Amino acid sequence: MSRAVNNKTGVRQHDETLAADGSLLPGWQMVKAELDALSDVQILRRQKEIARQLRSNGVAFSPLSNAEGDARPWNLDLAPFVIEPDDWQQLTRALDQRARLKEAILADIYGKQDLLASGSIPPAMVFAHSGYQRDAVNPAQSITLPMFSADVSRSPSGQWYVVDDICQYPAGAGYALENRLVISRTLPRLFKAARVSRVASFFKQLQQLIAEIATNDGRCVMLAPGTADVHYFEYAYLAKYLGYTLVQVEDITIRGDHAYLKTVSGLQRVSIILRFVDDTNIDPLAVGQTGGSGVTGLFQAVKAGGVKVINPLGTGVLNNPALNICLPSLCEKLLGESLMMQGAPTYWLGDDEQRQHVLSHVQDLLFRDIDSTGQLHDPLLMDEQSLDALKCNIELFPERFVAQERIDRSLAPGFSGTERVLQQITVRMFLVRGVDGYSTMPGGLCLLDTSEGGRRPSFTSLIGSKDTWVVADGPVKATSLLATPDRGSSYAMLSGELPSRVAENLFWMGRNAERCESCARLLSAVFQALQQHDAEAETGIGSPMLNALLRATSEASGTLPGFVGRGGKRRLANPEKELLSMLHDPYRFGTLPAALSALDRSAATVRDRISDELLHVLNRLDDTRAQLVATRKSRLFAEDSGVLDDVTDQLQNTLTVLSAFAGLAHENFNHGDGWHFMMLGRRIERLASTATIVKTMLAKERDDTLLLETMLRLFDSVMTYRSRYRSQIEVQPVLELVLLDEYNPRSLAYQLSEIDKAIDLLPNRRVVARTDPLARLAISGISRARLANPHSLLTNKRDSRQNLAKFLTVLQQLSGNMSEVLTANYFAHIEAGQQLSDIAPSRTTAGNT
Amino acid sequence: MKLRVRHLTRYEYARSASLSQNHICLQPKNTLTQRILESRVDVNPEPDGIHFDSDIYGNATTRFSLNQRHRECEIVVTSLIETSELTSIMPIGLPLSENLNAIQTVAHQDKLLATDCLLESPFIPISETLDELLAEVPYVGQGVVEYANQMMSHIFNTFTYKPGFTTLVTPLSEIYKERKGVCQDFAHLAIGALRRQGIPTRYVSGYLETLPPPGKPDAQYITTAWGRDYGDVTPIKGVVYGGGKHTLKVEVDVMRAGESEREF
Repeated sequence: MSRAVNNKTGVRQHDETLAADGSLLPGWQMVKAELDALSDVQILRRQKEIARQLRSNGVAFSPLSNAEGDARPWNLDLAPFVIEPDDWQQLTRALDQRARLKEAILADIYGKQDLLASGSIPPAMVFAHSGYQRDAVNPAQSITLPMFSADVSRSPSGQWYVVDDICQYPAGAGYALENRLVISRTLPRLFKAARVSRVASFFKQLQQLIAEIATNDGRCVMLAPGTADVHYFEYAYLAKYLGYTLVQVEDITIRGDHAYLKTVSGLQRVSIILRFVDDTNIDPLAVGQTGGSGVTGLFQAVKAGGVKVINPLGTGVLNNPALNICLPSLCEKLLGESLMMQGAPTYWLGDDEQRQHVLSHVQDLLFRDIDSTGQLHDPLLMDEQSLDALKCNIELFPERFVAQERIDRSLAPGFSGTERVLQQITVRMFLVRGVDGYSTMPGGLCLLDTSEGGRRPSFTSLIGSKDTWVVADGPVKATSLLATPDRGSSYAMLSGELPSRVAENLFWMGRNAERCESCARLLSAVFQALQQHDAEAETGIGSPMLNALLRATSEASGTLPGFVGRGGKRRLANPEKELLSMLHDPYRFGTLPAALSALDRSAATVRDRISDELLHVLNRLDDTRAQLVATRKSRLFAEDSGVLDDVTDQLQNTLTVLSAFAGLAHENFNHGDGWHFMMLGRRIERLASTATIVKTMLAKERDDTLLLETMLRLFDSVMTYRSRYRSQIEVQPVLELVLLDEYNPRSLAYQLSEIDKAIDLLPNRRVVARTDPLARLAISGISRARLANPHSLLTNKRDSRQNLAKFLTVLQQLSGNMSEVLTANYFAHIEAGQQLSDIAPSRTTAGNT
Repeated sequence: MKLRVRHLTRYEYARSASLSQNHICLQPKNTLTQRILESRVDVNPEPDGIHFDSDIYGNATTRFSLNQRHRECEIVVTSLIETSELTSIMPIGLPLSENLNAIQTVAHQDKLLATDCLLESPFIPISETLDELLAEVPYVGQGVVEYANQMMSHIFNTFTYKPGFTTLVTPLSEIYKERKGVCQDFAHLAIGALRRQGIPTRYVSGYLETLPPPGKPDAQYITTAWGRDYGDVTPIKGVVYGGGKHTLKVEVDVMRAGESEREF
């Protein structure tokens, strides 16, 4: 077997599959046998299946990474990492002890500070760490450590070490869960036979812990970074799994001593914030935090007891690797136990003696800033300049640095393509506090990297991960949060409130979906007309019908100037280039790919609220977009090329997926507040596009049958027309059907009537009169449609064409106004904050009276 | 001696603000050299509640939020302070290492603060700039207070007081290079240099009576708060939502409170 790492130092790394006597460990026997028996074809098939599952859950890529190269696939290895029961026992006991010890240290640092004053922990070691939050110091309260995570590695001698403590939030727990779901589906027989412990118990315990500290007058929210964060998927996934509302800092506001969620129904009390954001930039009013964003006043609200944060603010101080030096003696002192598992052997450069030792052994050690996680710098690999910079920094602020001995980490079998390789591993373990002590997630996130000599890369530059299998002693009981009806408590169910930001994104998801559909429909009509060109010259380039359609395409999609603005005439005569841009250009506003990625973006921001099936459809839409961009054609009209047929197929395919999206959004989406905002978005957008299309198509051309028929097709109303009128296509009945028929779901009147109904169902409507701006707009819209006089609007006369144009213009404006009023009423809680400039007193006067 | 301090801060907004959240550090603290007889904070418009607290350094802090739409906000802090004559006594202090040893014997809280005030802090990063400044005022074994005075005199004599030249984020290196700045810049430079020399130094905010009446004792000091640097004792910090551009006015009056004291 070859190695994935090329170890130049010649150290013989520990092989995870082997016992001390060189025999294969029992837990690995079945796994190795099964994996070794796989043929190349079988390996590839399973790897493809893993990629497919990751993709369909959205984990494969950061959902908002548009720029090429930005999207890094999350690589999940087919081979699991196995931990033997004995090893597991040893690890969990040691980690439980470490978590209890860390909690005791935490309580002192933010409480009486006796350990600091007595020198048991050198005060400078704590004060120099960025995790020390001076605003969290409060001797009146005892701070706790509900969750603790640690990265553990095994040295060549087979000894486990804690190489990193992760105390703010369990970064990566979502990936561990996701990896488990994917691998257990990919290797179902092996998974069952190997008696693998289930990871769901960890999350259940977390829910219980939250339920226990919860008060009845507020909900728990999960605070995480927004969609721009590379781990956004993980947070959305976890929030959905745990059942807490996913929020961002701007969704929370502090009033008095309490925290509130800004929702479409006003401010709603929050009593627990489960945070997945660092506390170093979370409150602009806290000491040392200068960023303008965050939850203003959070530290004070926590201090006043108005809201609980999990893990509490300030717990990052425990990540400090320098604390390793104090742990053995503190463990004796605080717990009366001897430390079971060491941290990586560490020297703190803030101590004169240790610094002297380190500076005389620079080449043997690795260096790191105490604020970093992982990221050990190896003097052997540094050029002279960076080594000098490191030494200079150590001279300036030695307290901020530690040196650690190299731990050449262990190896486990895995795959590189179909080749079997040995991979270097580190395991991230997750603990949560239970009734007595901490319990460890039976599993964890096995991290893969290729760094040599004990160095460790940052989380973002890992090469991949593995599912971690803890072999159970006895039979395994299945637990799943999703399958359990009672969920430990009804607490999670309180989370139905809709944050204003989410409502706004759902509204835009509705609008964007409709924009995509409108754009695809128009383009499809254009290409159908062009295809028929051979047979009927009336639909060809330059024909009134095609010109009308092309103008409507530009107007409705907003791809201006296009066929209507400057140069429009020229483009009408030779539409090829403009049409190619509409089909393939991802960077121009209004094109089909741009509209599809706008839909994808707005959906990404609400992915914790979207069903799995809807996510699949969104992935298909994204595939469609990628394909449109990738299959860019240079010519459309070459003879016999079949290009037109291809394009028509592509557009039909896009429309089919969009209909699936619309259908699922209707059928598989809880018809709560969020749904109403999404449907309003769709209706308002369709109102605008229908008004625009009809106005543009009928404004200039003398209507012929072909034009009317195209319009009927655009609004998918050909069948209805035939069955109702059984006549030649004529202006008045066509327009009645497209504009005024409240029973035709594609008509203007239908949109207006649905908008009117939906507005009544929005939150807080009972307390406002029917005369508020939103209701007035809706009423004026539907009244206009109902009171419209067909004889003055819809005939073939010049006057009535002008009346029609006016009528449609008013409705176009109405759509814009409604969008504005909705934003002001429901989405505008999110006003940007600014720091007040503060200056020291500049004028001092003295007086004596 | 009794001194009355009135500190007025007034924000005016171009447009109405929907919410503002404020944190104040303007009420003087009890120290060895002063006792607070009265102190109050008045905010206009009426806030939804004023919360009084103290921070990790024992400074008095106040916070309030205005939840109603407002175009202006006025904060007046008035305090009556009794100062002791100790303020004028300036010991020369112990030499460097004796000073550090002596600190080990002081109270728990002060000892920890001293450690914190030897390290760099957000507004006073340790850098070569401080070493360059130190080289201008060589330490030759004198008492630390004496040395601190020499450092301050040196800065007073070789830097130009120039309001508006610097902002809160102007790096110390630039202030040092241009040799211009305002009081807090000079304080930060001096503190940084002293820390670099191994003297625990904290940042003190407060008031200085600049024009003592003829025939009366020398200038009086009032300590408001202390911390590692300006960031720990910022007089007023706040976040406002909406409001557009804002203007700020600050007025400070320090008066000797005699028999004929006038109400204000």
